[in-house]
Amino acid sequence: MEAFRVIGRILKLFVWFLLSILLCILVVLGMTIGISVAQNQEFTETFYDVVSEKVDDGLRIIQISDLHAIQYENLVSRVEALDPDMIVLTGDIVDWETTDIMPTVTTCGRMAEIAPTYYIYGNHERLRQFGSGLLKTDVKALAEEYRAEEEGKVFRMISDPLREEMEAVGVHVLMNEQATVQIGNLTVDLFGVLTSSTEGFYRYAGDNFFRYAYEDEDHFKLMLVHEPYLIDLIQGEDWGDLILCGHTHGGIARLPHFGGVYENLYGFLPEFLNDGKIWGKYMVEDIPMIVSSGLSNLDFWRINNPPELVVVDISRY
Amino acid sequence: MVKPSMILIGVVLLIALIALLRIFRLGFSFKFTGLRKALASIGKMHFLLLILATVFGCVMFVLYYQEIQQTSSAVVTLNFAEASSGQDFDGTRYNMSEIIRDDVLERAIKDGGFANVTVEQLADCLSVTPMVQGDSYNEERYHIATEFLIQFTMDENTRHLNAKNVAQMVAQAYKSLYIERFVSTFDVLTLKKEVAFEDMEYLDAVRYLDKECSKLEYYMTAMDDENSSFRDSNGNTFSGLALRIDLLEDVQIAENLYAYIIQNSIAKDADAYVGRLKYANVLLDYDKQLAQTSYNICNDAIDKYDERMSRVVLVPTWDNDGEFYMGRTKIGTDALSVKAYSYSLDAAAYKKKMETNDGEIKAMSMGNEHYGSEALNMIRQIYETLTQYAEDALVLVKEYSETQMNQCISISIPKLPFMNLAARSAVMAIVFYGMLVLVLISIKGKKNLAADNTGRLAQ
Repeated sequence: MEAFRVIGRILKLFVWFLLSILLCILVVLGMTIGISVAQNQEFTETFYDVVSEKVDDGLRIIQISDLHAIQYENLVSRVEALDPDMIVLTGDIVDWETTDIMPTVTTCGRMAEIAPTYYIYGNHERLRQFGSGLLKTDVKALAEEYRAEEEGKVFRMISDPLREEMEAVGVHVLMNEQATVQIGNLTVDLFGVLTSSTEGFYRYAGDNFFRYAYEDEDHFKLMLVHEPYLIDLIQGEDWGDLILCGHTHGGIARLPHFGGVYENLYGFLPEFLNDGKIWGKYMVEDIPMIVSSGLSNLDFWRINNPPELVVVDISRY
Repeated sequence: MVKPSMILIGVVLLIALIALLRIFRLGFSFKFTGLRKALASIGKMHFLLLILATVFGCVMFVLYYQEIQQTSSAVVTLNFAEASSGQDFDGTRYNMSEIIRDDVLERAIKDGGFANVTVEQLADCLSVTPMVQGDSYNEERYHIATEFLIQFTMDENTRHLNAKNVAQMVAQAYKSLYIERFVSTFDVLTLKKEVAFEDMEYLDAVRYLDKECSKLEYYMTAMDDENSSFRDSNGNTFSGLALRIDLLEDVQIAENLYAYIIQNSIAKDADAYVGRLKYANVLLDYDKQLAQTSYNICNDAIDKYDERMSRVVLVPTWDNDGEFYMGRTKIGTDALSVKAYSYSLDAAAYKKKMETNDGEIKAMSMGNEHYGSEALNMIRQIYETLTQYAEDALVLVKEYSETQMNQCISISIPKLPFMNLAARSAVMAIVFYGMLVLVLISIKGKKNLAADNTGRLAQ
């Protein structure tokens, strides 16, 4: 009987111990999330340095990614204060569910007044506008519906209020297209990818991409693609002098030493376990690639991963 | 500056001390059995204390994190050879305080978009220290630092800035300005794309070509003095290119083109050109006479010097081997001789120029444009060749600059010491837990004592 009493006491203590540990974990988690949510109301600025022998006088590019239609009071003023030569919007600037795009369009229009601004669609815009992820079957169906002569040319045939509003305020929307801009003595060729799946890229963007990659090789080549997977999955391609991506949200939460916690393609602990390129600057076959964690603060579990505005300074040395 | 975390730790330690004193006053025995009894007397309260300690640990973590967010640092590493001797690129003495000099901070403020902050306010928050500190009084610990830590600590004037980026922007601004200071300029190697040779007088075009050649040649010669062995990806060297330009100047321009124009008296407007040359000769003649007169004056002054002067001006001095001897110091005649020589050279140069002009005047007095088109073709071909040499020179100098400047300064940003913060917070949570235990023991101990006294009184 005595033994049962002792065992009972030990069990009771153990339960109390477990409960208190659980409460402690909940307290820590709660405080962490609370602090993160509070901190994520403002964005941070991350500066990257890139070296290119094509750039004599210096070039500053500001990358805005995964904004998801959030309005920051000081976003435009900070962009203006940073005095960029070019601004790029690398996708998911609006959410697929965003009902009123005009505040975001106005913000982008104000940025277009600061510097040439280029916009590519992310998965949210593709879903919103084309109702799909633009895989081969999706594009084929669209081309049949709109009777496009070439499948790759169907995107501009479809009425697109977002694209029209953006272009009306001076933002250049690139859909598997190249643009060229002169900045001082430097000529910059940008290529904006719309169909970023591996099966869709060469099929719908191939011709334009090869022109971008292999003509005027003295121009500075800037590749914009929403998802970084394309760059990881296709080896040996000449993507240019700099690649800017988004989409991954930095792995949502970031743990010290382990990095991001979760990413759609790479899974859990994508950097630690799968060498996934989900946040920061990487060298892909000697080409610098920067993956932004984006400006969205919608995920309350975005811990130790504040919304970020990326500033890329390119110089000769 | 007293930080909130320090205040909190102070309060906790004070409470723990008070609790400890109370326990001593109660006659508590710190033997193991006594401690065990005391801890057991708290019972299930331990779990509550654990939760409270966890909360306290979180609070401390937040405070530490906030404190660290108010500072930032960056490490500047000098990778060029001269740095290990404590020198700049140009061999002058390196001074680490230059890293946070005013123009660097101005550039950092501009590049970082830092609003409402002056250079002075920013400077007050910055410090630069070598990563490894040597000791100049101890020969075994001599060390010339090539790595420097820039630290930024917020104050009331810079509280509105995002500290995280400040040190990084200062480091990058320093690197940019350093490279701008020492990198070669390429402007002189860029020739005009279109030159209106058809509007120029033919001999003026020759002078233009000659001047452009000289510019390029001097540049290449200067670069060759800096590094005579460098070869670019096209196999060009500074001396090789200088030689080619020199040959172009001597053979194509001076011998071929100039001679062709003079021999055939090619001119667009011979009278106007001859008039200009005659006027130039008048001015040159004045200069020549001035130089000649100056030369004569110097010689007269030398003649007037008493020769006994040169015998008495001896001064004691040391030679290169440290041997003492009486040396002759320089006197007025020495300076006058040097000047006289210089004036005579000038006079000779003016005379030569005048004779050249006379030759051209003679040739151009019957000038015409019969062979003008051939001359223009020659001029254009030479300019095309010169442009090609300028492009080769640009590639050569750019590649050389890259080898010199690439990674001459590198910047690294230390990572946030997250584990350190977590460990400190955990330690503080344990201290807090200990304080709570002491407080509880002191309260229970006092109650037990009071109960004992009441019991005795009752007895």
